[in-house]
Amino acid sequence: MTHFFDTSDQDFRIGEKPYLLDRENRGAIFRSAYDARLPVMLKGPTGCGKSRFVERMAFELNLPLITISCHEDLFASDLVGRFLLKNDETIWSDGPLTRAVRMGGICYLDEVVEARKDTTVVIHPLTDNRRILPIDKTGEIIKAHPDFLLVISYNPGYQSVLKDLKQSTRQRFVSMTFDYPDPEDEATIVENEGGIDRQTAKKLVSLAVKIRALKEHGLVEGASTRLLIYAAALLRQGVSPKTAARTAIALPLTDDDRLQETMNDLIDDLF
Amino acid sequence: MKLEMEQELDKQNITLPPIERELDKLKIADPGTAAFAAERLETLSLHLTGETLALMVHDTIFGLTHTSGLAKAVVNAHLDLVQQNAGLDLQTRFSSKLRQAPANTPGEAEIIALFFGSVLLCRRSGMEERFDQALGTMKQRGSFHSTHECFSLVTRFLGENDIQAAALFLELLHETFSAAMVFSLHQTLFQALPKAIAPLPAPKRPWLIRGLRRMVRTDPTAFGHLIKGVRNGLCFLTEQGFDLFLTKALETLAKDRSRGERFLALESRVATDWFNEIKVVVILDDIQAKLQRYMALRTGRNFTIRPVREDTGTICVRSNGRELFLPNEFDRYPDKQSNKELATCLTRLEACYYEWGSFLFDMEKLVDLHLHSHGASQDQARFPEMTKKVSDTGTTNDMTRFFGCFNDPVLARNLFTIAEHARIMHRIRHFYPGMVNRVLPFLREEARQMASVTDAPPLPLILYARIAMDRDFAATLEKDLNDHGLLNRLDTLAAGLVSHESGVEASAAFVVEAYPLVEQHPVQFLNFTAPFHRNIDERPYFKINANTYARAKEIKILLNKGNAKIYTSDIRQKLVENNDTISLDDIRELLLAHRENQGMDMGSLTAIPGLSESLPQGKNTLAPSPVFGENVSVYKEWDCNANDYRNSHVWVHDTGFPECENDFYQTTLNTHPGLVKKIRHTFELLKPETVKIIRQSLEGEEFDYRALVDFAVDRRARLTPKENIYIKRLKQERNVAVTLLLDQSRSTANQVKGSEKTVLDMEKEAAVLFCEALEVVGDSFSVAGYCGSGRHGVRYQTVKGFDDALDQGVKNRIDLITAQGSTRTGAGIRHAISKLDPVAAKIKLILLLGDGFPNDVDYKHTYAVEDTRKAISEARAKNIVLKAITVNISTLSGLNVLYGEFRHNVISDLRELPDRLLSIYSSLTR
Repeated sequence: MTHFFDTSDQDFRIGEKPYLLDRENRGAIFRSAYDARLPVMLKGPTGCGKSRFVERMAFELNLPLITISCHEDLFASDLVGRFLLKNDETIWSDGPLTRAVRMGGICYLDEVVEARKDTTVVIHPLTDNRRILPIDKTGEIIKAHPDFLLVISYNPGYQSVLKDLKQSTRQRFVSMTFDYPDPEDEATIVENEGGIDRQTAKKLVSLAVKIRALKEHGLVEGASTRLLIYAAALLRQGVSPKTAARTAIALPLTDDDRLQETMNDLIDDLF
Repeated sequence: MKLEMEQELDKQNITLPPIERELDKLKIADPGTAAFAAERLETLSLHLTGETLALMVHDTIFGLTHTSGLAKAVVNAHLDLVQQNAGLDLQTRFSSKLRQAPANTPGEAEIIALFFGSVLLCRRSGMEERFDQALGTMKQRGSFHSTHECFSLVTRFLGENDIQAAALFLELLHETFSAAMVFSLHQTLFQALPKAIAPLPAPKRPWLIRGLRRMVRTDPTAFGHLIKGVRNGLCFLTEQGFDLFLTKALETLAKDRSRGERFLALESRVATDWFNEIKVVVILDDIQAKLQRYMALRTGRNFTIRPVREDTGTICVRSNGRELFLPNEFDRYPDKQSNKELATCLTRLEACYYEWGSFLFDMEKLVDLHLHSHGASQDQARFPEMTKKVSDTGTTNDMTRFFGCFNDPVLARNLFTIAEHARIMHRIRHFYPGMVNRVLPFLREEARQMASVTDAPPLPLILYARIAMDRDFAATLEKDLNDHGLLNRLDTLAAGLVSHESGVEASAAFVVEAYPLVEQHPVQFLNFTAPFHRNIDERPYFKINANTYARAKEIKILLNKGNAKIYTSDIRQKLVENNDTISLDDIRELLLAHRENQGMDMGSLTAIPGLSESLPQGKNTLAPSPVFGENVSVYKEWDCNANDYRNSHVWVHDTGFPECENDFYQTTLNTHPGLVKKIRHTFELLKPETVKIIRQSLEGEEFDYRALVDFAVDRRARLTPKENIYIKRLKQERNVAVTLLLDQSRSTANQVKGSEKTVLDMEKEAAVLFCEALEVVGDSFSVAGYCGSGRHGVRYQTVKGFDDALDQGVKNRIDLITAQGSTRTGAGIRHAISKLDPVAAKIKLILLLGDGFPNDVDYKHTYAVEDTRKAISEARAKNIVLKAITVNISTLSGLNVLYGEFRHNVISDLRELPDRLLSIYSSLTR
């Protein structure tokens, strides 16, 4: 069989060591799971560092990392592969999942609940002791590379239960919970990632911590660490602190004018 | 007759001393009145001269010739004049005015007796004339009662020393009642005027009365509307604003009477817009929610914002850990923005106490961290009282105990305020630099104002300005200060102790050191008032939070018995953070923070007798549990008075319906054939195709063969073929789940105007059409009714669950909904949420169909509204949208508060309900 793409696993290796503040011994747990080739599920609110954690693990374990951002329109064929035309023949092109299964490495399905439910079923035979990927269209059954590991992540904060994982999927993973880091840790992350001074990083964190308390007042989700890093990035670009906090933290969170006003009040106090 | 009687009396009393003789004259005329006069004289312990007394008795006997009531009023008036040192001259004027009253109008004499004295006492020229004019015109038009009411208001104003308002009101009375108008209008105005003017706030009286006078002059018939407008908020305008408003209103009135009247009463849209534009006063109600959110953001706690109870005329702010008290109106500045900013800044400052633990002061920490630095033995000598009180196991809180260690607790408390505000300012500068420039201008202005009322700015205020505000500003106050010695010493002391890193105990340490220094000049420090009256007073805080303190203390004592080192304030902080609960893990964490506990076996904690039992595990754990086996769900309820949830407070009984055959469903469909057809059509359009096929796509699962052929052909023809040769299938889903929640309380049994049907009948018909429509569109839906009878008796009747098919059983059940009980909406919504939450749908909706406001046993007014609002925000937090549809109701504003401005619809003509319900639904989910 001819393959459309011929990619080397080097394309998927993480070149530089990604910054990570390892907390709660998660790194060690992940390594143990990898050693036992157990699929891993990462749970946590948006922007709290799930994807970053996987990147760092891939780097530390020296594994290629194939990330697939799942979305509503993600079909099984998008994962497994499809036939394409090349010259006068139809040729099979591996999907990212198949590629990872063949070459080994971490296949990371980000926000897996976003994918269609039937899509998630294709990962089932990969996640139990069979570790195989059957491809209907070609009739091929691929045995997973010894280094292959499946990692999925999702955000349980999505209240839409439509996007909840089925039990049959859930119970195939070992699970790790992520949450926003402690203020001190979070400040360190923002300082390092955003490239700003500690004092400002602390202020951004204190803003986020307080905004997270507003959930009772109608905010669906609190300000993520990612938003703080965005704010820090804007600051580094010379944007004024107030504008950076407003554009990167307050505005993305909600359209509610009253909540915006309250957040702006606090931003004005802080900067 | 009068003269004869008096002559007779004179003859009889010729031998008695003057006072007794005069009173005896009165006794002969009427023993009752004489006794009254004697008693009053004794109570007031007044010494009347013979002339004064003679005049009083003379006038009283004159009064007796009319009524005994008038006589008593005369006695009172004379004695008031004497008491206020009016002098014989004023008394004689009073007397002659009284005697001028025509004999045939006793009411006039009584009005004079009752109210003229206060007019004389104000000693302003022109007042007497105004009184005469007003009385002159009123006695011809009004009744005694209405005149009495008007003049008693004048007296009240004079008593409050608001002479301007009294004069203006008298002029208004004269002008109103001398104007030519029909009798009935006069009568109306007689009643309306005092009622309108009595509640006006003192500083605004003069210009509001002038405005009312302008109204009477221009168009007295519309006067009532203006009074309504004043009640509706016009009094919140400034003088210029009110003048502007009135000019505009009178213009409108001249053009269009009915529009003008609504404008005056502040009932038209144009008027409210205009009003909001020119209003500069900020009303607490308008900014309450904003301030509440801000407090929650800063402190992580819910504060209730309330107006300060007493109106002191100055701006002051206070709080007690649960409530924040602010003035009801902010009108210091000529623009709205500044007034709003002032309110926000005061809230900002107040939040600091809770964010930085001012009330978490701990005596033990103070001794450990600050006083021990002097050496323990010295310490005992220097602060014997304090060291003794540290180990006090009583229930008095640490702060009060600390202040009690000083000879004068007030002095200590004032020093503490200065130091604590300094600490807070350090922290503001450090953590919230943006806040500094916002709060300082207000603080400076207030301090400047406070300094200006005294000859030389008081030392404590200068110290406050130096350490708790800014030094540059303090320098402007220091100019007139002769001796800087004490100021500099206190300043240095504070600088050594208080910084942005120090805890509240540092402020207390300052008090310990500074107290002996200021004890020599206590007066200034005793009278110290912080800007905006923000003097720290722990008593209201600990009154509200006494339980938390007691619990923390109890736990601490138990732990100390187990030889563990822990501070009460740390336990308190945990309790406050965790909503009055604390776990063993929390305690372990606190214990580990102390070096003294390093070797301690944390596992042995449970062995400390009584500890596990004393850990509070949340409120109301003793609430009775529902009978097992019943279909009962237990919910919390929001108590706006306590500003907290009442856990496990409400029981909702999810009951079903008996089996019963009926044809209500079909009959309803038959009665609205046109509507049903229309609904089917509209909802058919809402229904999506299940799968949308996109051809000639750049990607997809299958080849689009037509495109593929084109591709091949192009290639053969050596053209660059297009690559969009795939078919893509997109599944489109309407992913909506909706609950139609019907209020089935007794009030829905009321008949609808112009129809034989009741509100509930209409609701049921709407439910039928709703089911029909949703069945067409395929959305997942449920229908339920709710009602209440007390917190343990809320009923929730499910007509159709999400999983039920729309079968005959469901159709039968719709008709079985009956009007019963009252409306406990919060519980109804919470139960609906619990059912809707697990349903897998992208959009989740609750449509609440009701006929008014929530109301149940112990569930009324604000409490009910606030709980319902809370339930709605709980729904929002779960991504459930609640839309309320209210029928048979005319007020809009209340509903805005209840559901939020865009979250409700009012259907005044109930017959539109079925049609409107569906159009609302389709626009919500399109």
